[in-house]
Amino acid sequence: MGNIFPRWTNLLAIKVLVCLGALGTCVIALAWYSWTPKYTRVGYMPQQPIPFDHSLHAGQLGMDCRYCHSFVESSPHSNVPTAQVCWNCHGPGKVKSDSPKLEPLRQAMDENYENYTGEPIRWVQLHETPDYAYFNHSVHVNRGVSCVECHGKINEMPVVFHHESLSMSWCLECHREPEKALRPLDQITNLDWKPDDLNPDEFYAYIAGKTGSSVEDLKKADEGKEWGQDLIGAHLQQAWEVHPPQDCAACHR
Amino acid sequence: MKRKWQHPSKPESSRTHWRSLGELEETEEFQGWLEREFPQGAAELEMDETSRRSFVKLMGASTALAGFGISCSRPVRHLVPYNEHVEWVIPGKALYYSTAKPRLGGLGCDPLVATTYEGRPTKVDGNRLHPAVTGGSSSYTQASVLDLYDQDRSRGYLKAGKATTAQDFEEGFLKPLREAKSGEKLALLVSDSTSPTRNRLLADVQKALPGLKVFAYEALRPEGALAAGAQLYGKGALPVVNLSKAKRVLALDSDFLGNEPVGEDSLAEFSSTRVPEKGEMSRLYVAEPAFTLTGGQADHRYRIPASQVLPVAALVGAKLGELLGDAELSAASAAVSDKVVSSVYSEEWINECAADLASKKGSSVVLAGGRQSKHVHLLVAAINKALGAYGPLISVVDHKLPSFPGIKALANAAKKGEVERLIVLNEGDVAFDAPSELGFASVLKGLKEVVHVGSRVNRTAGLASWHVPGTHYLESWGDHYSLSGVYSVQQPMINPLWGGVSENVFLGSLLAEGAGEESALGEVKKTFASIGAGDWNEVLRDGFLAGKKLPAKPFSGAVTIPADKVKVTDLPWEEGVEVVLTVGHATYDGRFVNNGWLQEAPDPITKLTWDNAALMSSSTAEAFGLEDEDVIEMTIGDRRIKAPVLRSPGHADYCVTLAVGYYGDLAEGTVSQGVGFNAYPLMTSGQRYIVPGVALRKTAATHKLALTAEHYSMEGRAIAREGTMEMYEEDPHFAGHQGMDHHIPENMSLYKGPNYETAENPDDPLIGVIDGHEFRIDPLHQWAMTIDLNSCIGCNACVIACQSENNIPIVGKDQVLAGREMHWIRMDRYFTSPSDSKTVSQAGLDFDKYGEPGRRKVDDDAVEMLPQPVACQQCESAPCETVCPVNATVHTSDGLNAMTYNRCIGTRYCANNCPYKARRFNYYDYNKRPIEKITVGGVEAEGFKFGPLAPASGNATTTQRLQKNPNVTVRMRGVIEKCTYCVQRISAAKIAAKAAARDSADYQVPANSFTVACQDACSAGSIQFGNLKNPKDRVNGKEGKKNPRNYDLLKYIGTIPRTSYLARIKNPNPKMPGADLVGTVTSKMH
Repeated sequence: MGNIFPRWTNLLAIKVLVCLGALGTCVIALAWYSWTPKYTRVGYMPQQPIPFDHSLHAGQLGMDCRYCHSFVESSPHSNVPTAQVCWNCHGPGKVKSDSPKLEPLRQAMDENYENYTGEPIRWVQLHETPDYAYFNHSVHVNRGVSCVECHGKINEMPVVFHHESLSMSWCLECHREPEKALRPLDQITNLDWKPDDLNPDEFYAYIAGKTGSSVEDLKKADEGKEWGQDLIGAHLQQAWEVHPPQDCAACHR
Repeated sequence: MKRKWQHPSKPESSRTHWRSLGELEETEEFQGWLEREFPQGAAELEMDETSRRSFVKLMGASTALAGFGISCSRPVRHLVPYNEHVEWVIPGKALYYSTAKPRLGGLGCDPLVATTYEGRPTKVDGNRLHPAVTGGSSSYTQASVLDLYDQDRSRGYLKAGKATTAQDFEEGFLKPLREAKSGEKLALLVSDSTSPTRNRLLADVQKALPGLKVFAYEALRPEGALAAGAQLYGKGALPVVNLSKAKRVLALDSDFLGNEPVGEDSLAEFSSTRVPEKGEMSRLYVAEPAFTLTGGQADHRYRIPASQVLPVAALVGAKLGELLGDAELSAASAAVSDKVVSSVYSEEWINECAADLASKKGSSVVLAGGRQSKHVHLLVAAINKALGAYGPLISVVDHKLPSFPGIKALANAAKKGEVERLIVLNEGDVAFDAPSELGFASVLKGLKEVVHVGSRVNRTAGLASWHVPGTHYLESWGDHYSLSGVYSVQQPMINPLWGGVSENVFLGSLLAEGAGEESALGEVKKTFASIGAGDWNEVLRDGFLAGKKLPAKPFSGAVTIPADKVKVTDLPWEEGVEVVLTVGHATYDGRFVNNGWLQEAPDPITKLTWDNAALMSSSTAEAFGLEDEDVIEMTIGDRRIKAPVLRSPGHADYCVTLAVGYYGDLAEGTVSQGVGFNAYPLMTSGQRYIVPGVALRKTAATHKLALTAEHYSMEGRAIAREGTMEMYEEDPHFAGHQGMDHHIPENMSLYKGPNYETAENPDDPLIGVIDGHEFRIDPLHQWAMTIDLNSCIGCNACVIACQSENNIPIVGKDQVLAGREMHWIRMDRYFTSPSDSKTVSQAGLDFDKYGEPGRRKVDDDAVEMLPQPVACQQCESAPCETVCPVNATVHTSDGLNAMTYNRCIGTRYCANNCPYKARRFNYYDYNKRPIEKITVGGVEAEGFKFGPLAPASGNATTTQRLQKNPNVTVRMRGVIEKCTYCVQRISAAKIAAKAAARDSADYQVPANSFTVACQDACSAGSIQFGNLKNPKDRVNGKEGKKNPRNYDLLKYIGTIPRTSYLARIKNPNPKMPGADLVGTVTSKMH
């Protein structure tokens, strides 16, 4: 009786196993990567009913974030502006009031407009935390965390996109090292702010005033350290006693 | 070193405590509850063969369906801002408005503060600014917000049961009526009300339609009290009792701490007199047929049938007349007491009680209950007058209420043809709750036209030719005088959800076309202007008009009782049982019958849910050969009702107490369907609430009762502690060494966890370094709570407040039967009874064998009650945390035992390891699935129960979802949940403090700046919550942790709970019979 299996089949089982293993690894790696918020969220750029250009309004025109997101300092939510806020500038006879891009606004607000419905504008939600995670804007912007830390440089985005992953580990990174994100309170909505913008003498005077130590001592202790975010953040954290909670109950209730 | 326990030899204990008769008798069923690790049916799915097959079928289908519907793309959600900004609204933050709710029964109002989110009311609480109240609320008030979102609410106009429009009603009824301007043969049936606008509009309508007759009806109206009041104080005036200066109180069948407050805030006022730290406590005597919340607080309680309150009042009056030398009182009492054989009653009790009342003349008061007759109330007025209670304790406020004839007059007028058309504006359901001899349903059928206005499509609506959808009090403008005469405004929080019409709007539409909430507001403002004081906006903001009250009326008239009109009822006996109709804890008079929160909240006394039952004493049950759950029939004449038996400790013999307001098979609501037994057929105009001479017969049927008394048993440990004034004076710290606590060795812990005590020094807060991981203890915030058992009456207000705040679902009757109720606060109620050798041998039992199963018996004469709310104790060294395999329950830096729902995988190890049994498991996704879908038709229904496979959407979820608190996760199936100390409120307070601190380091939450839900709801002020690190917080004061009565639950197991309790103090009168055994249940327990 001859050989049923030709010689080449001898290694077949091993080859198949190796291929399957490689395939499995690829699938897992792909799934691993593509199911993380870094992949699923970052770069998300939905089309909005009105193509509102943040780079024009907040960038070129230099409007403050809080002109539209008016309750960010007092509410957990940073509110989307009411149609009335848009209407203030884009109302009849004002800026670009008959631009076709503003169709939904006119439908909502212009009672003399033929397509008037009175229906509010339905903006597409971009940044979203799960229902069981309770993020609070007010406590962050009041304690030295700038908008830019989570939302990126919105003032340079013609169409806003998801800049950071907003995953839990990403949140915790900052809660463990808050000094990496703290800045003076008057610079919260200045998305272009850099540590170099800060005058070291004024800063040390401010910190000295808050902590009760002298400017000389502070400067002496910092000798040899590089002027930058870490140094500024560490001083601010100490002066303001910023201790971001790392408890589950901080966000999950 | 080993821990050595020095157990003293077992003392002869003076009292024993238990939660159910089953526990006292140590029945097999109770043992079953004890021994099971988890309540019955937790692990196994009990099904017969057919249902298993359908289970597999459904399971397959749902798995297959799960494949579809899932897609990889991100779901698009929208943010929809307002077009124009709404005043005051900050998206994401709650807004609080003051409002008022008419008090149940219509006399007075409860001033409230409503919490709203973007115009959606989610919770109501008492108004702390109001001068007359402390800001607590009742369980009815707490649950009333759910009625707004009731899925069965009336959603539109009906004409003979068919949907129609408002326009149709306007043209078919209102317009012709207004144009005729006569109101000939038309009647209006209203509820009692202290609303000046309502009463003015009613007078206007009577003027515009001269032929109109107005009648008033309330099923649970205190007829006797009102009749006596009208005779003594004149029509339209109401007596108001302020108990805050009372030293001795005798309550005669009066549940003044519970369902029938006698003043603005009787519970708060009474509680303020029961603080041993403030000196001598008041003393409470209670004579009543069945335990009430008031009876549970009594220092001395006398169980008597409700019909025997009159002779007892007369005997007390006679003794007092003699002691005080008051001829008027003696004469009034003699009119009754001459017809009484005094030896039938406990003369020692009566005489010593009278002597004690007399000894505190000027600060003693006697209160009589609403179901008692006019003669009892007259007698009580005579006693109070002799005791000098008028003035210091009782004032008479001239409400100038209009008085209308009652429902009997209406029925007679209808029968005579004087009334042909009727408008029912009444809050109740007259076709259901009217006295049975009137046959009111057939009266309604006999009328030409009946218009029903109400938010429920009830039995009256079913018989009416027109039904007009009514409003909830949070949807309509109105105003009320509170009982003591403070003008309060009822401000709507939301537009009528289903286009309803309020009472004021409806009365307006009888006057002119186009009445709506706008015109109702106009009417309220007009009333306010006529009062002529204050600023409208201020009144709207505060909820009341400060600094002006209705005038008080002095009372000094003579009280006489015509002896020839007094009739004393015989003592009930085997062939003439007395049935006492009482307020339904879950239903009131029937208006809350479709409210799931109230139905599921265990009755404070019986711990019964989803039912009413015929309560009777054990000896009465024995005499008739009855056991719990046997259905009995009660007959008198042609009136006949059925109800299941429930033996109730401390109940009067040959007397049955039955709650009204349950529809039983008559109900059609999602929640109310098949719940309870209708007791109204027994009520007649002559015998409203006390029906003597009833024949009682056992039927073959039984009815399963869902009792929670045996769930989560604490196995006889001394966790609810009490003592007497005498013990307190001897050693105020006595509670700290009762039970195991007096012989525990020092705790030695191998667990080196974080030490919250040493976190005082903010420079070195990193005490709790575990394996190199820093755990920073918050040096500024450590939360803690104390609960004062001395003032807690166990009324369930906190239970429902917690439910409303924390999105806790209801689970339905057969889930309660399986022990799966979800309440985060378990309101334990202990009964205690004497168990010393003398008492036991007097009961005919052998003391040596006492304690063996079947050898115990309840001594009904000396039963006392002791409630104790138990929620998560927030242990610093929590046993639940160490067993969680996924770290879903961990400690926070501010000392909370946090529960992370999104991490929980439902092993239930934590619930198993919790010594306080404070954790709850969500078996069937109760928040998502309407209960009628989880269980089809309750326990008795046959066939498959959908259980976890019930469809997830349904009517119940659509409107009731609007009530949910947006700041609390709505938990899903398979997750453990428990009290979090309202972590959402703590977080909000901390965030507010930090946001306000800005660039300063001072971010400690200000002292007493926020409350938790249970604390808010507690009228008695029993609950203190606050920050251990802030000395100014009340929890650190004399009323909290520094109180000498403070003790921890199960201290000896070393869990270091953050919640602690203050022991109850009884103030017995040493001269009373059985005084030596009062309040001593835990004194010798070890």
